[in-house]
Amino acid sequence: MANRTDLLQGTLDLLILRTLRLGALHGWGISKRVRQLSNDVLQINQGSLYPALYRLEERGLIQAEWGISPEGRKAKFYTLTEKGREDLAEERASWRAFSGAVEAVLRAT
Amino acid sequence: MSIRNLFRRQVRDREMDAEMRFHIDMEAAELERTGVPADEARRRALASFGGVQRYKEEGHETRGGMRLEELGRDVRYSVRSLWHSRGFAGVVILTLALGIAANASIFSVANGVLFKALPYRDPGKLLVIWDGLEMVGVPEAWVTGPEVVRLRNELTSFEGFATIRSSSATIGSSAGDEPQQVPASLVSANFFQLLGVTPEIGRSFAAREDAAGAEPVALLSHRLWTQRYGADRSIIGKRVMVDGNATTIIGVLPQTFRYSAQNSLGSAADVADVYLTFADTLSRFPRGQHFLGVLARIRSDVGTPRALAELAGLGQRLNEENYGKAGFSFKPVFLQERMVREVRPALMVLLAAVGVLMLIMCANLAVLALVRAARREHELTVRRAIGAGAARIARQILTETTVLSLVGAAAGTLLGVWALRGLLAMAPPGLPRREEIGIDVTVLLVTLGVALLVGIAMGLAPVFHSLRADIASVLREKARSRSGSRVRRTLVLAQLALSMVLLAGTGLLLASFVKLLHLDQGFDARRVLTVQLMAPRAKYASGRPVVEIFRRYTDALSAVPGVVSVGATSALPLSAGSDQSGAYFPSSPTNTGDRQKDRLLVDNAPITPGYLRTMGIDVLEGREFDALNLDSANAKVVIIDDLLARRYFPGGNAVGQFMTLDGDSLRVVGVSRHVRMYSLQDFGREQLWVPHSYTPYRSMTLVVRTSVDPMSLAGAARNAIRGVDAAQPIISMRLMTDVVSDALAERRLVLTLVGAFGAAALLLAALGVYGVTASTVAQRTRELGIRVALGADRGSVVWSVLSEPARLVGTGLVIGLAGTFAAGRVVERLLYGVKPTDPLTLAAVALLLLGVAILAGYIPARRATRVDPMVALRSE
Repeated sequence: MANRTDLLQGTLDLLILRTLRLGALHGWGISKRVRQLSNDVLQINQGSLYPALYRLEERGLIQAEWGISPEGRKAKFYTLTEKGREDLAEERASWRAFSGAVEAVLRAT
Repeated sequence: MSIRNLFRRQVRDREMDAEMRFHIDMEAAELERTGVPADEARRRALASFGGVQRYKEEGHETRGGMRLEELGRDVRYSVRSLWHSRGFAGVVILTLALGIAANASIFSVANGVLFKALPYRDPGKLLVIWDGLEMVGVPEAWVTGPEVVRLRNELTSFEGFATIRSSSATIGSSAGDEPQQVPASLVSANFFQLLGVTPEIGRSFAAREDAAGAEPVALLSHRLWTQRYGADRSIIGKRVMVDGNATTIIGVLPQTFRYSAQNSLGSAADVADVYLTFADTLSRFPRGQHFLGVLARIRSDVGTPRALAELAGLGQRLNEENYGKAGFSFKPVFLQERMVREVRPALMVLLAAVGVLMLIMCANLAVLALVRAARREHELTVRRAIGAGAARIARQILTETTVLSLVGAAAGTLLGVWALRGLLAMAPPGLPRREEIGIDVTVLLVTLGVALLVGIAMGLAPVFHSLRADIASVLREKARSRSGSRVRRTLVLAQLALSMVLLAGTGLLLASFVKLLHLDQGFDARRVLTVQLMAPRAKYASGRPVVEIFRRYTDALSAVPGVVSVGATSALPLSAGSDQSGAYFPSSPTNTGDRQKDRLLVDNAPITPGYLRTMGIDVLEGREFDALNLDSANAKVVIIDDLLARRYFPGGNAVGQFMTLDGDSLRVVGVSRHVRMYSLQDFGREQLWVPHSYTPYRSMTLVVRTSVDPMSLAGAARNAIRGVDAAQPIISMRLMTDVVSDALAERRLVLTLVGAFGAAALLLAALGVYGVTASTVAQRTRELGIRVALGADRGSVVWSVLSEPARLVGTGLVIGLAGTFAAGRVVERLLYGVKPTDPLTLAAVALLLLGVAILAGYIPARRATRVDPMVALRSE
């Protein structure tokens, strides 16, 4: 059984993969997108973000490439790999199942 | 870390820098857009990031691998975090400093004495050669003159053979050139060349300077040169009176030079202050006279086994030619081994003891580290939860313990310098190579190694524990992990078992020591003053004049008020100073007719009338020598010890019988009680006494029994001797009780140190048990409170807490008991009258440990009964 850390880490990974599904983004862009999408509820700690990005890259779920940002600066862009796409689908399903279960419990009490 | 990794790391570093900078710039720009001033925006962006450096670091971590550069950061972090828990750090450093100091000082001694190479050229090739005369009970006898000649002529594997004989010499002869008695060595001319030692000033002996009729020349020790001649370099080439001969001083030896000539049966002789040659007329000496120490050097191009084989071959030939195939052989012993043989067992025991203590200390420190880790559990777990890898955490813990151990080692080494000084002050005077003992590079490296090992060892327990901690439950701040206490129990168990081993060793040594103290030594050392004299050759011709001057000294001393009786001997008890001779009792009823079997090698020493009475040696039958026996016409008498009397005259009629000693026929006039002549623990061989007139040695020790404190008569005794001959040098003046005490010095030191280590171990083990019980009580506060509230009686509450440490102690004792068999083997050679498995000692030690441990557990257990139920219930 996955313990709580895996869940925490897994959640962050899921969020990153989810934001990247829409296209290439740099690190700052990812944190900003998550903030926007969650209406400022979820704030990704940068200290977790970059390690998570490197971890995902290592696992081959995302890939990084240096490019030019809309502001005309050199930035590192992350994109989802095929493997990442599959992983995202899986993670999403299990997250839904989990959050659904939590929801059910909450509603029951 | 590989170079490639390092290179990739640099690239990655640069990329990460760029990426982070980009992130912060974007964040700042965003903030600016919302109206924050540029400076403030940048500051906030940075703050929200929390320091670029840290994330870069954690970014690395996810890529795995150990990086040296991070060590510096880890160390800085450790120092900061330790500064916040100074109490913990202080206790650990203090414990370590004490342990390291003990370790470093003991190891310094062992290193200087046992391990360090001797300060001579290629010392591994130097051998001492003995005559092996096992058939007469002397495994290592001195070599005869003719044998040395054959060694030199017939063996090709050796660079040379030097001879050495310890002696003493009188330097100076007249007023203004005060006569002084100094230890001397008579050596062959090649002695220093063989050792590879060159004089500090002047020259060494030349090849023919030991030939018969050569001009007398001498080398001085650095000590004598500075003390007597004020380090005057012009002494070289001057003539000085040595034993009445005008002798040219040709050189002064370096300050560091030491050579302890070994006595055949006893300990090392005094380090010589004067080196003289003795005329190389070796073949002149009779075949049977074993009197030369032989130092040999194997040629550098010849292997040791070949050289030894060649030596053994000559030994075999000599066995056939000269010893009637009785079993003679040469006994080669490496110089270094010979020098340290007597102290090796004691040093090994000390090394083992300090090693065990270090292990116990490690366990203790590991427990402390574990407790600290438990306090930081939350912090560590959070760090893991936000992504710090297990390896990262482990490294952090290990860095911290290593920093601690290194600081402890530094403090311990400083303390060790001081401890070593104390150790050397307590060390027995006969400790070989004393001047080579010091804290040198080897000691520092070993200390550093030990410190690193201790640091890692004490960190392993918390690392192990932190890896197993359940992150989720710790974050919920609920469960207390059990794995920590399990590791801790194991550590305390190890402490108990090791303490048992150490204490068993201490107990066995103590039992031996007590046995030796209450031993029947055969003499009475109380209120006896000993005065060692040598009648100078220049003044007193050999024979009658020497006997006469000692008679006058004893008479003069007898007249001193407070003196009960006076005597003199050439060999004090416990001094290993006797001669050995072949004895034969022609009229003995136990003779078999086989002369080889009926003859016996016995200790013998000349004594004056009154010696036995003065030394408190009982005369069991017959009488002591009287003044008549000082006349050489009446000198052919002998007093034998009870061992000889029982062996040769079991019927009890020894007095009046005749015996043959080295060819002379002597009449037995008395039977004395056996005295220990070598050491307290060594019963020694059969012994007999002859009158001083029979063996008129010029070096004798006067013994004075007094009715008052003997030391108070020292001045009067000196005056009495000076009254007879004002120029008589006095070599030494000692209390006989000090002679006995010195014979126990090594044992006392070993016992004191092992005892101190044992006490420290006991304390640490008690602390371990206390800690485990106290934390059990703390964890069970609520439960115990409920029990007390429900009316449980004190006894059962105490027992419910105490049962666990009791089980722990029981198991520890059983494991430790098994370990004591190993300890017994290590101390075996130091034991006297006690078996390594002595059940009484082991039981006493087990009881002591049990008592102390239970007491240590009882203190917190009793606290459990005082738990206020209300407080306990509210504490959750």
